[in-house]
Amino acid sequence: MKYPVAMDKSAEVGRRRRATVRRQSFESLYLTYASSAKRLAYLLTGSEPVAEDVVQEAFLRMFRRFGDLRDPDSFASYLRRTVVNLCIDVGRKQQRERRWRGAMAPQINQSSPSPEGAYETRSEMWRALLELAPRQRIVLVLRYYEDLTESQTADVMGCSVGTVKAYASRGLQALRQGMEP
Amino acid sequence: MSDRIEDRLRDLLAERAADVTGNEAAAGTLIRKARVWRIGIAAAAVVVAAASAVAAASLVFSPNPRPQPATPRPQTVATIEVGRVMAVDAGAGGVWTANYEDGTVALVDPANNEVVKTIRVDDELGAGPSDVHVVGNNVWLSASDNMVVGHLDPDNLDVSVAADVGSAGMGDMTANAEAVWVVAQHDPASFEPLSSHGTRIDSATSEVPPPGNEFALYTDIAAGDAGVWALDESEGTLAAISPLEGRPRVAATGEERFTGAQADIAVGHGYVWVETSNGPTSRLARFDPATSETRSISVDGRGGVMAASPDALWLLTHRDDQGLLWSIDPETLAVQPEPLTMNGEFQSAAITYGFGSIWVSHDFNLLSRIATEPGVESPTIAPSPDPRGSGDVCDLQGPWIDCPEARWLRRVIAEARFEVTGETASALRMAVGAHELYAWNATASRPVEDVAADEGYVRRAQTDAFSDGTRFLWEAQGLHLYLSSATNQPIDRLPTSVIDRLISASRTVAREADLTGAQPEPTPTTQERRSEQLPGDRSRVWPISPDVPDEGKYLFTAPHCGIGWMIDFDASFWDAIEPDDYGEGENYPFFYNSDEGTITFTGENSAVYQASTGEEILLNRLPGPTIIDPCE
Repeated sequence: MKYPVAMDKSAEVGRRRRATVRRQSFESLYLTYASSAKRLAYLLTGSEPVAEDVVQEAFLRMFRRFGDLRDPDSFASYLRRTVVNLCIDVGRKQQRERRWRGAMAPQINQSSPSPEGAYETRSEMWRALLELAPRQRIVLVLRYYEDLTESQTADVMGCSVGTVKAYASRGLQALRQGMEP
Repeated sequence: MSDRIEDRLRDLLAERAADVTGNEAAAGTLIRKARVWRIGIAAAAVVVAAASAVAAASLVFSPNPRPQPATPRPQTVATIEVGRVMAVDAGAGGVWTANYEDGTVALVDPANNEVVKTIRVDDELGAGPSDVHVVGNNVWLSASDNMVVGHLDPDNLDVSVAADVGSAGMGDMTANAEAVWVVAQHDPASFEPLSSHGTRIDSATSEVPPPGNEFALYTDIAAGDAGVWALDESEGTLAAISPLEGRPRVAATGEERFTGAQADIAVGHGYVWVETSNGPTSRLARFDPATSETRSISVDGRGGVMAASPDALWLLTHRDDQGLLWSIDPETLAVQPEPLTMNGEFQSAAITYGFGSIWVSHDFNLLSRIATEPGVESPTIAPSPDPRGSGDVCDLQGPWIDCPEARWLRRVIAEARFEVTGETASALRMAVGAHELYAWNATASRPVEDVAADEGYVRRAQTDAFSDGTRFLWEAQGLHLYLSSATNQPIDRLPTSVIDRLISASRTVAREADLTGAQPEPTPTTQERRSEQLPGDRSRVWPISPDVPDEGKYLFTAPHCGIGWMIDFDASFWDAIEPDDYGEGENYPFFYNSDEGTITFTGENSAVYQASTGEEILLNRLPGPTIIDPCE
């Protein structure tokens, strides 16, 4: 079926208007959430440049799906999940073939552990955190930085609450060992 | 203590997060980038729609015109949800995925493109599997988080730690018939090796040789028909690894075509293949070990991974949210002009070849099967109506092929005078003239007509079977039987007589012992068996079973060590005649395990033992006592 020319123009104007509203909304969301997303990505990857890349990619993905979001109020949750998944992906790549190793290297202090085995500085504890298995680190960051409940953490990570408990327990245990004199 | 570490962790995270600079200024850039992406996708769609072949071919750079390979266009025939997959390999009857995030390994049966087993491995290995390599009947796993190489036995799905690699950590892993090879994991902070060694692990003994078999700096390793090769992608060094000592012999170094921000190595068709990406295109270099000559081409997309099939080298690259699968002639390096394009997330894709197909993992949890056989039409294989495997058909923990139902189907195929040529995790492969077929069965949990109706099968008028165009389905002796093409050809082209013969055999070959008319098992005359100890822990023993009339059928319980160890019946011992296809006895467990069947006289000194699973074994009466080995 062919539509009259006027109808085509009207439709085009509508599309442009919707695109403009969408762009403005998205910019607003970016300004609102980008910093917090970057902080989360940094804690998960240990690298600020990588965190920036992750956040950019996360927002790009969100932008592509923006029109499909049934509940715009859930933007923050979707964004957090996307950031976490991207960080998991980064960790996987890092492990498998170190393909991203140049960009992905955690900016960690190479100072040696104290003779007593206890963390003398926060940088030592930070290094220990970054050396945890990726999923353990993610659980700890979500629980103790984002203050998510175990259930919320499980939802973000797409795993069971029991798995979250296990990762948290193992992660804390590993960190705790560094505190023991 | 617990509160203390948690509090310190909270403080640490808050402090570190506060150090992160804001990036609000990037909003405009990001929006522009997103728009460019959208424009790019739209433009690409137009280009593809208008002249996709020409456009794709123009993206492949080569100094000289070259003939295009004759390989057919590949086609996706199935996409399977396997778990959060990180690596994939084919062999040992199936396709295996290492699901790192899940801590599992999934087994996909190529006969029906379904996950038939998901095996938890992280408990045993201490971490999720990040790589998998299948060689012969061994599935080798990398659990790099815990720095161990794991082994999975496809026969019983037992998982064990094969070797502890040590504090150097694990990088890339490969395997061949002789050994499993890993390279040291690099320190992510300094980009230098934690310790300069790679490790050869003997696949037979799981021994890690002492230092001395070390090689430095290599980041990627692969094994194939041209040997084991390692790559140092930062220095452009390619080295052949001696199979016994694990020592590197540098074949090329400082080669710009072997360097890149991302790299992959593969060995196949007698060459070493190195893929590197430094931008939007992927460069594929072919190194010839015989001449030390290197040739290279460029292919659209980046971050390539490779697999070798009998006819081609396959390179999977990605751009934006698309995966591009290229077929490359290994001799001419001619690239198929139009790649198979798949939408989704392919940055972390893995790839392998097996069962006439390329298998690609993508989108974090999916595995796609891409048919590559020349001249093959590739119908979409519908999902199976019934689950299969040990949990459904039998109580064994291992694969379906060890179940009595699988052994029965093997006898059905033999009875129909076809040849079993192989097996997968849940199907037998059989040759029928020029056809290669898969056959399997499942518990008939509901009427076959209902299944057929639900799954879109149509009853075949000339047979008692249903067809959905890709497979046949019928019912026999409480089981559903399935038949599909092993080469993805339309199953309806199969001659009707083949189906008829299989249906007929499936309804005549006994699935269990026929107890009709069987008399009770005779009670032994005494519980004290006369025996005489002989050298070598052997014994001479005398029968304790009572005399019975030499006719008719009797219930009989084979002892703990099976009918191959001792049959004491009718005041005599009997020799069980091994069938022609006995082999190692893997299909006749009642020869060495307890069983409850029947014995039917066929003469004064001859009889037939029918096992609980329906097999019939000839028995010959032995005179007097017999000598037996100990029953363990």
